[in-house]
Amino acid sequence: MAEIDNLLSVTVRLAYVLLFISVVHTENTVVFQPSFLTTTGPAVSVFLLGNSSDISLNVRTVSPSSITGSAGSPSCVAEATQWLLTRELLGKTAVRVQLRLNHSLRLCGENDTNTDCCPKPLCVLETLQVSACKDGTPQASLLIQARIHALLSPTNSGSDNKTVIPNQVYQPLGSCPCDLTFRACDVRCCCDKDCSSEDLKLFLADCLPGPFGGYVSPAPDYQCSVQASENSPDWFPFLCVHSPPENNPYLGLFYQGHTIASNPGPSFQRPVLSAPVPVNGYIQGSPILTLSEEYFTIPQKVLGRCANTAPVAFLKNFKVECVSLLRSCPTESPLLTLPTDLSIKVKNGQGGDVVVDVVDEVATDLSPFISKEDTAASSDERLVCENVSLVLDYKFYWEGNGISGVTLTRTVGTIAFNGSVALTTRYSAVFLNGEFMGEPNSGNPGYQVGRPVIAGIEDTSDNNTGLIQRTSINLWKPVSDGLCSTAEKKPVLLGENSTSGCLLPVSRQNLTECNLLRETVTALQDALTAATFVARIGNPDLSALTDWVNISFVRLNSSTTTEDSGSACSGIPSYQHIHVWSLVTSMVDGIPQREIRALEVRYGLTTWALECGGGAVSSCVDPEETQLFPITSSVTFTNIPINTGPPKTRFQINFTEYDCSRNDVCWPELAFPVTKYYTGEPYSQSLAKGIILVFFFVTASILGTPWRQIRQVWNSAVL
Amino acid sequence: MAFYEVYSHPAVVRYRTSVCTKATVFLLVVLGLTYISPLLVAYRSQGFWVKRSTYEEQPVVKFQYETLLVAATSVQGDFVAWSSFSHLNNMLGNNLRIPAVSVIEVDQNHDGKLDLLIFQLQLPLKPDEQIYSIQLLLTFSYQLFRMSTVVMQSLAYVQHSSSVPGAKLFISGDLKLQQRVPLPHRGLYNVYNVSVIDGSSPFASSYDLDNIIRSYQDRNLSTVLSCPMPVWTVGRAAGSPFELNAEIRYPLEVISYRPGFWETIKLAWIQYVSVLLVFLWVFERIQRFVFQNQVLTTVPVPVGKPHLS
Repeated sequence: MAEIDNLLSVTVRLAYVLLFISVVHTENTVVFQPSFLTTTGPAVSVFLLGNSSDISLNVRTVSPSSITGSAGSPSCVAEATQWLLTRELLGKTAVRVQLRLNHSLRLCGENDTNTDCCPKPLCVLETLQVSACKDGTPQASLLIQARIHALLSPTNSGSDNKTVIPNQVYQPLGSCPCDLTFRACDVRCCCDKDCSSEDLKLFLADCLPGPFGGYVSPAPDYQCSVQASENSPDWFPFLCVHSPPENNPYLGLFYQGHTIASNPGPSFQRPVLSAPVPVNGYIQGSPILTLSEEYFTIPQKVLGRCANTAPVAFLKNFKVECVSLLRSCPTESPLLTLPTDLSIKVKNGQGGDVVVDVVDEVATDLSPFISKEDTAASSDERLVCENVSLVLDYKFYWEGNGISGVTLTRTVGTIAFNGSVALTTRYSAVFLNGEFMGEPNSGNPGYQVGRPVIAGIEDTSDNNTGLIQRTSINLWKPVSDGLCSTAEKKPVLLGENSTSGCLLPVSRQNLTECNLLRETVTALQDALTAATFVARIGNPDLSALTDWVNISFVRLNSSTTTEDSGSACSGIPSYQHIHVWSLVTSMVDGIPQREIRALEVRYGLTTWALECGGGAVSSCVDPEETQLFPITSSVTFTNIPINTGPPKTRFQINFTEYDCSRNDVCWPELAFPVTKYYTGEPYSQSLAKGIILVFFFVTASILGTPWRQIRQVWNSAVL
Repeated sequence: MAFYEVYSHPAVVRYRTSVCTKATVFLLVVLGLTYISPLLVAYRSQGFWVKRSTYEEQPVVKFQYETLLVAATSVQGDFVAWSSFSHLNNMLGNNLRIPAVSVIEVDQNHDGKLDLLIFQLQLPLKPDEQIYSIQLLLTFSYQLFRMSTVVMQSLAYVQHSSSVPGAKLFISGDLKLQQRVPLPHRGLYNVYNVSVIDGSSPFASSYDLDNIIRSYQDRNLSTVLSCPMPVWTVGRAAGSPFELNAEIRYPLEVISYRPGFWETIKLAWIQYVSVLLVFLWVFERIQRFVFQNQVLTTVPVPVGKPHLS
């Protein structure tokens, strides 16, 4: 409604102005509209109507005559005032004239040196005369009566000076909720203690009503503090309420309810990719960085395939084989790289950098790298790819928390194929302390399960005897066709029973020379365990013979070599069995330490004869035709139990009353919840609860009939 | 005139004896037999102490939005992969293929606990690629509250392969809890509240499925996706993506726990007392017989005679 009124008044005023424009236009004069006004603010806006093309405007301060009360005739003499006058052309015959107070309305503080302030609360009280002059003669005049109060709001912005509002759940906003600004008078807030009596005079008629204005209703009469002693009701003081005055009915009036911040659950947000952090010395497992603060990468296996940009961790050795299917010559890293791309600078962890030292080797035999050649597909053209990187072997030399050097041995080769080829490339990284990779011990002090068994041979090359050279005990590790000529060896690991073997092609020609054959097989088997000692403990001292145990070889002497016919040889040591007796001697940090007590190598003798049955006649006829005979080796670990004691009698085996692992209702578990067998609660707690229970039972039972009986007995005994 | 019993009341007859008599020994023996024998009977007949008990609870499961997908695209061993781990995606290089993934978690019975995860994945493929196998790993947060509070991170692993290239794989299964040892009956159990996959690690070994599954299966408490019937649909239209639709339910679980001290005692007490009642009755009869017939010499004090002491 108010808006409509406003609009209406504006329209009416505009119509009036327009009417006036038409009036003054005819008379060719100028006139102020309105010609008199009173202002309480620092800005005044009036219209000057008429042909104002060569009109000048002057402002001066006038004082009304004390006799007539009139302000005197307009004058065209300009005078310095504290007002700024601006004019703005609205149309041909209308100018908006604006006057703005060029003065701060801030109330001067005490000892205020800045003069741009109001000394009194009533800051400006004057009459202004604005004259519109043409050729030095006033054409129209405007009188403005200015009566401006100083602004009482604080000069500093109020936002950072809010009244601290206590928690609205437990405390009312205070005795004066409209006191919004701290240490300053809030306008219309009559309860604000910061308002002086002069301030209050300004807005005493317009105080904010209700609780917000601080008009909290008087304390209710049930409050004990309200009742006066002489005028009290008859129920006083028995039925009055003691309650702090803060606990009034307006408690929580301004409380808008509790808001809970919703907890965002997990979602498909892309996790922040953490950039490599700069290193101050590497620790085990921290990524190695290049000089440009990027990860140093070597191809590694990810999800079964090799990823080219896998970071390398400090002190984590690895060795991977990558198979890639080539259909054309490789053009990019890592298969085709320039040495300059490989010799990058790596941060050494000590503030400096080391350059990867690249050594190239050329592979002549490509058979370990090309596993499958698919010639069926387009076999027209034969591709020849040169300088393909087949092996990248990195060696990191480390010392303390830094890397002292990196060498890369790169094996390149030229591969040629039709169609496509499966190329196997090998990548490895080893961390070496000093010049050599430390030979790992198999435990300290005792052996640990899964570590290689350390064997030794007496070093006879040097004069200083007694020094033992480390070696290992091996089993066969057949590769590809499983023949002994190609078979590799793998070390025997402690506690890992295993068997393996290889095949030896034997012809009829060989079987006629049985002694030679026996020697050949024996030599093959002996190569597996070329040692005379085995280390008793996991970190043997190479000079102390006490750390070593002799290996006992049991060779069945094939004295009965009489059955060597032309097509069969007996007594061939084709089976090698290694038997290791070990013993748990102690525990270190809960890890059992094992010790090898004895190692025995036993050879099993078999008779080899050619199978000529069925259709396989050719090998019996042709002396050069071979048959395959197996040579096997196996290892067995036997744990010597400690303190087995005498063997159990049949009674001990059958009597399980006290053996809870073999009897569910064994006697030690009779009071199960208070025994060590109960794991539902800590032993101390269950014991305490059990004692409480027993105490109550004993008390309850003694206080009944038994107590009477005991008392009778006691009394009669005393009597 | 016939008589009838108009009223009856028991009369107390006291039997007195001195301490060192056969009667005292007899009394002690009877007391021992009465109270200790039921314990032995109840214990030796098995099941006296409850060592494991079960309760039912539907877990609070939330999908963690961590995903790892590997799909073999040829019989030669080519594959495409995608994960929600940036480090892994960076390492994958050309093998990275971004699928379209959508996830809905549904609370079907409106009890405030999620019941069903609908996971849909569409993997775009090149014209010469076919899907022969799929490996999918999803992680969840798993919480139990009724007995001990269990908070853990768990995973579901789906692996399916076929010699025939597929167009779609549909999986509908339950995320079942696997327990190796019973849970404690109270307290907080958050040993396994660690990420299944360390997404912050830049190293290849952190994303090795072998390592992930090995360390996960090492846990005493884990979840497994029980999906007995995966549906492999063949016949992918040209240009259409491979679709993987999984519906994973979070079912009510029967969880075993070690009963607390008082629960163990309570259940044992019930068994003990029920056997004890029989023994009390029997030995009461024996005692009455012995003292009434003066098998053991005592001094009976008839009714009404005042106490001597």
